[in-house]
Amino acid sequence: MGILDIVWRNFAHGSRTRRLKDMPPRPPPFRGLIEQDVSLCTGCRACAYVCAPNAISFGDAHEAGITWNFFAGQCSFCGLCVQYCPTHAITNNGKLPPVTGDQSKLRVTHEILYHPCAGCGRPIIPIPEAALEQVYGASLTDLETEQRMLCDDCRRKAASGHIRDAFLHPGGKHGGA
Amino acid sequence: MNLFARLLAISRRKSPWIYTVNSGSCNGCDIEIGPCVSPRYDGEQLGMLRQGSPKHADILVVTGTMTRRSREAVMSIYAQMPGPKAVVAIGSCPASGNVFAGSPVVDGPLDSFIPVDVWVSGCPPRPQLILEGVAQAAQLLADGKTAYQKKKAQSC
Amino acid sequence: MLMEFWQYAFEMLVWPGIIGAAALGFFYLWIARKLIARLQGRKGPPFYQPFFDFVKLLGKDTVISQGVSPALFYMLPFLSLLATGFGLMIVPVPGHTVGSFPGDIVLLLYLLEVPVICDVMAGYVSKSIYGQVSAMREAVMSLAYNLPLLAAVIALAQSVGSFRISDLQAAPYGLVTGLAVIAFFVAIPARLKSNPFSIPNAEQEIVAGAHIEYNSAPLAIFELSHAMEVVLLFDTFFVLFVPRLSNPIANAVLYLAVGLGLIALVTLVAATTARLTVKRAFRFYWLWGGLAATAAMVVAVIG
Repeated sequence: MGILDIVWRNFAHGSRTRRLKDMPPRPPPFRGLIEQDVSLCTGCRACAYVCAPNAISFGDAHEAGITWNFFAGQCSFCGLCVQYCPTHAITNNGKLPPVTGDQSKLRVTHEILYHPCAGCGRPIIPIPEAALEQVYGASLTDLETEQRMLCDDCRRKAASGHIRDAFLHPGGKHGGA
Repeated sequence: MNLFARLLAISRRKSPWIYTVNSGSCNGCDIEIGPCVSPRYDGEQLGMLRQGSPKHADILVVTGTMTRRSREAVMSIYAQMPGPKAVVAIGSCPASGNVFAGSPVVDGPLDSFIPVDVWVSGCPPRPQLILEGVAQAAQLLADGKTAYQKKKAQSC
Repeated sequence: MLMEFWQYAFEMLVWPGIIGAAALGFFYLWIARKLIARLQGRKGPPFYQPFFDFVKLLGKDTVISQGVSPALFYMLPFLSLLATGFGLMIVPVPGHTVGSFPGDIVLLLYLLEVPVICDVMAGYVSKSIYGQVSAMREAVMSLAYNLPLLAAVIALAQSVGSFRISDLQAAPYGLVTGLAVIAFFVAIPARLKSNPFSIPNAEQEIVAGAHIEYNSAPLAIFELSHAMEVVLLFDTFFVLFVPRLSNPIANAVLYLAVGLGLIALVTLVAATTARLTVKRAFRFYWLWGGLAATAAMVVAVIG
């Protein structure tokens, strides 16, 4: 009498229903809503490139910088942006996608401001300190802090200036031959 | 009568009858609607019943993008539902088309055709979130704040 | 004269009329839904859910399909409600004394058929093919379960010698009563359209049953009349087969206990069986029900 057994066991055991407040536990690979730490973003646009549904896009912030725009209503929660962001600015903390009546709550816009280059004054997006620390594996020296605020051309000029100084003035500030 | 109006509002919150329609989805969201009536998540604790006829339903639960083939069907189903009614859009397909946006057979986001009251985002959203979406729609029906009820209150 | 009018109004509206029977009927339906949820391992609806469903339906707009006559659309639920209301008034339940007249059990059985006919008509006049298939199935099921049910009542009346409810109540228990109880109980799931005889309401096959085109207030009245029909069926069972106790409070408690026991048994059957096909259900009722009915008739005529 299989079905009567099952029914009796259900009756004795009680309901297995989860309350609406108790979400079942999320396994570690759960991909929820992404979050971006804008202080780590370099504006490389890798995330927008790999985003299949074009949920991530970049825009202008009125000449003061660029904007990172994310529309959760277009996201397919694949996690490629998390995987490809070189500075790990985009993270996946298992946060649940929102349930809302107001669609604007699904849109996120972050501004990444330009800074003027310390050498020529051109607007640049400097590499974030935390990203540089990840690259070098240690906290930044004065040289790196100073070079961070230069644009590519000025940084190249500064680096070749250091090499010229090392050859022309051995034993000087930057080591000898 | 104020007492009957209050009782009616409580009943609208406690008895959300849904009708699900797939307007062109990949079936991921439809598969997640199935567990909503299973013992683990049990929509019936909200009073939710999945009805077979749109004439019996209060809440239209839509999954999938609005494809050109299903446009007439979805509009006809929405028209057949007796008011007051609410619409819950499941997943990111009705909100924007997700990966299908821009295709020649995809017509556009759902709210350019019918007024949407609750967006449940996710791809697909978890069953508990779908139930939360239905509960929110039921609360909107009770408060008289669904798009259909607001439009009716304006035109009266 | 005025006293009598208020008494009839009380009986028609409060107990055992519309409000009292509706309250009890919604309670039975809630018990059925909660118990079947528990047997399936889930939580089930909160307290008194069928009542909230009923009130919500009253507050909706009515949508009538093109081609359906509005008069028929609105009249059928009220006819069903009136029939069950009148049926409730002639059954002597605890709290309601009514004189018994010859043939009142026949009138009760006719009144019990009216909701079924209203459902069949509702299915036929809907412009939906699913409604018409459901109406056909309901008509066939009615034909099926009425054979053992009516034959049981006839056999009981034959053994007692009269068609009065009071005489049937006072009849001694015997083999005929036993067979009649079984025949009546087996017919209840078919009346309530619950498994294994939920054929007219088969969701996967015909979408929604005879009420497919009904909505809002007419559907609410159909639900109300369904709740009252449950109470009427259980009342009939109680009156015919359960002995009366002399203490009125004990009698009322026994009445509620029998009602709860019946709904629990019907729900247990519904939770543990699957839907039969129309042919199998028909064969079940006419073969086994027919045999039981014949046996009951033979015993009633001989003994």
